[in-house]
Amino acid sequence: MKKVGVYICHCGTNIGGKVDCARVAEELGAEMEHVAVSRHYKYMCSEPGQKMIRDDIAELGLDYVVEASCSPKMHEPTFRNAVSQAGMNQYNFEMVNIREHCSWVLEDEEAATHKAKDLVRGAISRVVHHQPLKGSTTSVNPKVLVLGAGIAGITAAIKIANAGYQVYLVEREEIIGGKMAQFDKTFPTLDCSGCILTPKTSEVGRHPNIEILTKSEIMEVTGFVGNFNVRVLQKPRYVSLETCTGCGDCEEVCPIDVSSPFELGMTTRHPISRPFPQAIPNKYSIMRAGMPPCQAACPAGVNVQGYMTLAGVGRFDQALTLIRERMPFASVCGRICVRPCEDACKRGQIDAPSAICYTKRFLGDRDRELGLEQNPPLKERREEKVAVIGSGPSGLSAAYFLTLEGYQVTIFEKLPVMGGMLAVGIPDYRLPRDVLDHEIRNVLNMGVQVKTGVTFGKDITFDSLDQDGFKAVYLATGLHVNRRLNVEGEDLDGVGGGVEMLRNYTLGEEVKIGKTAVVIGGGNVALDVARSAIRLGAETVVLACLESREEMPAWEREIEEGLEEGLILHNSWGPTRFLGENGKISGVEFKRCTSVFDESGRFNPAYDESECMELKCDTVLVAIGQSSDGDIIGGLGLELAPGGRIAADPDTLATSRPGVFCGGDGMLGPATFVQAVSHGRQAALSIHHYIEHGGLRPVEMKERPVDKDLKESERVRAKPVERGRMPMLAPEERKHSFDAIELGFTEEMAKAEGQRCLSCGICCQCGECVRKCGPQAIDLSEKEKIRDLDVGAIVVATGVDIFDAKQYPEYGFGKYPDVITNLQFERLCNASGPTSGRVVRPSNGEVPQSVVFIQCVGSRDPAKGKEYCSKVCCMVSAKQLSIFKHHNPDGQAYVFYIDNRTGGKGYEEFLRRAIEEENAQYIRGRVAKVFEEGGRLVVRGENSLAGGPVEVEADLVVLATGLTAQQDYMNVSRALNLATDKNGFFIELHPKLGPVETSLSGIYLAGAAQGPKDIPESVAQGGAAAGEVLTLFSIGQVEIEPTTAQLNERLCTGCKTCEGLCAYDAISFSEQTKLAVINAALCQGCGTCAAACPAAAIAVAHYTPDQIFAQIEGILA
Amino acid sequence: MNRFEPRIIAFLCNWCSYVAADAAGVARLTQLPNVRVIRVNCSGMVDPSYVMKAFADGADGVLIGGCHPGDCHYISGNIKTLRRSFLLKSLLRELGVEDGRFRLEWIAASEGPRYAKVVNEMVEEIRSLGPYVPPQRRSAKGAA
Repeated sequence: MKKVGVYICHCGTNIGGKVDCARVAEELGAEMEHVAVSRHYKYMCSEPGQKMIRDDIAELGLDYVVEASCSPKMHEPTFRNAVSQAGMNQYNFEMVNIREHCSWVLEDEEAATHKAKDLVRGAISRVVHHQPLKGSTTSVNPKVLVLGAGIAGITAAIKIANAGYQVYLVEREEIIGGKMAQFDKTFPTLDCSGCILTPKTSEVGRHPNIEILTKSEIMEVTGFVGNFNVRVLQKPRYVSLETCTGCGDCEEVCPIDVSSPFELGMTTRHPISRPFPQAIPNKYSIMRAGMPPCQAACPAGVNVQGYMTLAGVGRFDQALTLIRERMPFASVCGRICVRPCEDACKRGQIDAPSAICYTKRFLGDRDRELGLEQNPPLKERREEKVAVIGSGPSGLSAAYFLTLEGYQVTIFEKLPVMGGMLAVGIPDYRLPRDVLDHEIRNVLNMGVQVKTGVTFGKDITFDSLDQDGFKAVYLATGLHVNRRLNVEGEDLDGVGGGVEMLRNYTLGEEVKIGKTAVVIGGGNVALDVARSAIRLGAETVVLACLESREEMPAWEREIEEGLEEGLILHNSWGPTRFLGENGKISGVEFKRCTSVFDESGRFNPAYDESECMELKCDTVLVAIGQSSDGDIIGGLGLELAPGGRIAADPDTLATSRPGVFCGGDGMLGPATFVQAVSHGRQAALSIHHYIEHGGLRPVEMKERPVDKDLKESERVRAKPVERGRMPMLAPEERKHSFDAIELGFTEEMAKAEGQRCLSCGICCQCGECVRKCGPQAIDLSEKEKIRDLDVGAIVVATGVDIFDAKQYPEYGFGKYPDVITNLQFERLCNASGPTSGRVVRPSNGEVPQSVVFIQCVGSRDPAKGKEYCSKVCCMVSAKQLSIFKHHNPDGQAYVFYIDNRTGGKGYEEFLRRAIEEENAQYIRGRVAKVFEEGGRLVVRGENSLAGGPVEVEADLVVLATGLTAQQDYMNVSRALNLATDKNGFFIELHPKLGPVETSLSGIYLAGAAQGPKDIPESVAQGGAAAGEVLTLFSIGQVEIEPTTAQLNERLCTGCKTCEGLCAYDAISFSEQTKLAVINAALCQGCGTCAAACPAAAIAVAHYTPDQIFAQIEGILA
Repeated sequence: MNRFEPRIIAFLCNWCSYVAADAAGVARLTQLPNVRVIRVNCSGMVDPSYVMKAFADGADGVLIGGCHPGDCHYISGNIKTLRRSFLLKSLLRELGVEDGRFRLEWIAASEGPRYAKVVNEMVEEIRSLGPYVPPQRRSAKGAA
């Protein structure tokens, strides 16, 4: 017969005050079979209590032990240890929680006793089904990851590293030191924070066992105590830690100033900088928020923020070179681009977007006027030849980028002129010939060969190009054939294609336009055709299209300008037939178009046949779209996409024929100029990779774009400059000629426009620092990296954030410059701070005479702030007023406080000195309001000791802001699976006995991440965490719990239900046995598989169905 | 005192809900005395048969407590519990177990007050439903 020993703990009066422990022990001892002994004792966890159990096991030969007391989270290890010492397997022990779950939460003694009895009965009933289990051991990887490099993390790191173990110190910021690096002096000794911290940071910096990972955050943690794998995201510094000498040359040429986060916005910094001269790592790094929205929106990826910034400081040559890294045609693009950049520009959320395109046009035009040819440097000349078919924007761009790469490029063009649609599709008033020719010449002057009048498919073929030694071909043949309407009378004399008309005009061929012209189509080409018809002498030009005015795909600006020039619009009409007299066009009949697109958004026009209209005319120009030359395309032997265009990979532009790439309109369908240029560059990259390495190139990872919504930090960067207006010809002047309408920006306008940029990406990657840097330490193309680190233990020392004082608008923080937080005050007194240590009013730089400190801003205020006391603020204010008095002995300090909480060695004495020697006036009471009156701040509050309201005039108001959990604590909590309290502070294993351990073995806490702490406490915890880690490393082995899933092979049907459920890939299916196989080393014992197994073939050891069933039966008996 | 005192079995996961129950105890949050806790590693290990067993043996209600979705110590065990709970509920309905008698709740380690609230709510609800009587016994009663 099995023998169970039952022990009920009184826990002093904690349990015994509510639960009749003696009765529970006696009644269960009498009622239940198997119970060999049933006792109760005041403190079971004490040595006499444990000895009682050990003795019983030895003397009575107990097989099982049930002990009822506190939570097993507290003392299960204690009792498991006790039974093991007496020779019993620890898994034959079961613990019952009758304190947290019973005596502490129940009011009625009878009910508590009843509940305790049920719970213990369940455990007795269960324990006899327990099996002795033995865990295996595994060795500990003696490396540690310390997360957060404030004083707590630094302390832990140094201690562990000094003991000879490898430490990875992972820090989110660019330097280590945490909040302490921002402090001026420390209480209660008033010694300088820097003087005690910097020796520590420099020790970390040069310690052979510590690797610092700055700008890094943890993403994911797997594994368990002794063997964790931590995935770390390392953001780019852009400046090499190895090569940077810290000389500071880069900083001098940086054109951007942004608010300094380290100085809490009290001064600015350049994006390339370092927070303070003694920082560790003592190297520069670049602040970059991500890809700015303008650049992200640009299909060609032109660095808009970069050239706008350079234009803003008048560095026009560099600005143009930057454009030409991605866009060979600044002048052309500045005139005809659809400007997705300006749509995305965040300045548009304040007033109007930056005039990006006009500025770019200015830069290109300036280059032409000054006769400069600012291009990026050419790489070494290569022997390989590449053929480009078509000299439109896409073909020219491909030639340009391939030439930059060193290739010998020949362009083959069917028409006698170069430029494709730029030349023959866009009228001169929008894009003058000389502007286009200059930019084409710029490409040709780099060494590109051209053969015009050559038709691909007739004069040359893939094979002939092959024979002539071309290694790759880029097909950019565009769309030059007019789409037809296919309605009656389309072949009448006087009906023509719009694109043909534009092309014929450009090529100097005869163009016949009558007195009354009807243009059919609603896109930009239709507008170009219509406005050209006006210029060619038509007296009346009517534009009719299916779309309503709002739906028209043409730009609003183009439509407006057309209307100014006398264009007549007829919206929502579709042509039914062309009317003719003697074979000549005489009019067009239309029917009402009721909708253009169907419900799923496809082009599928619907008409109202009953509503018709007829327009008299002598010329019709159809501009409803273009297609490629089907005869040529079809005969190439390339795979085609639906719609008859050449099929190509959207990223690499590779076609079905190796070495042949295709892009631009010919691949996309009707697209924009800037997309064509983008394709040219993508093709060049692909061809370079194809020739250099064979095969297709990998697609580049794009930089993460910044948030689309305007942030406060960006709004404050907006300089009060209005968007420049483009000087234009008057409608009357422009109507009769093809002269350019837009006259261009002046130098001053371009500069002003550049200064309107909000620097959304922070660093604009203009490259000024790269060119300046002597040791060439800067790499702007650096990308985020992922590091996988294997460690045995993790110390979480992520610290605290500062409460956002704007939650108390009545204190005027953010409204009055002389209302600051106490952390800002630290920077004001700090010798390396924004004022070099002079305590002055931020508003005017004068020394304040009266300073008011307001306590508990965000602390001890469950209504608006946090419920808890932030613990340090009373001492911080006492310290800060003392520093103020040392700076200005004639000044007066006031403190509005709730209670003074200055427990700590030497703390209360320090406070007394602040009151008695520094004559600070402490006023007990809350502040109602801070307001301005006659140029001074007034603090109105109550004096709860004297009774009644009080007003104090202040030159400077310092808010003693509370400490809060880091804003992104959830990221750390999720990655580690670490529990937090409701305020976001991490929960320690036990509030008294396990202050640095957590419920996850191998993960330890240090510093204020666990709750608000001052420096000495944080240091103590850092040391304690190091002690825990070193204990683990010293033991060198961890026991793996044997509570893993076990398979009963006789019951397994091989259904594979479990296989897909396991989150750890611990279950596989054996093809030989046709059964599931459980890998115990990977199994974490969650039991999902067991619950799901339809054959009940899986059970988790120590949590088997018979055990749980017995417990249920026992409880409900 | 004839008030009906329901008996409720609570399966609480070791990492979130059990810790919340402990936290409720540490904070001395008064609870009705009707819940009996069985600690499991993960809510995902609660085999539906455990719930059926509890009702069969005379429980008037069953609570399963797990970590919030996304916070499961075992990555996604709680989601699997959730997926199973729908079928389990309809099965329980067949057995005459009203919806209010079975609850699946996400209770984080920091949510001691929520645990106490869930316990008290559930006891009150089941009190209003009265004792759970399995169908056979019910029909037997009807015959008598």
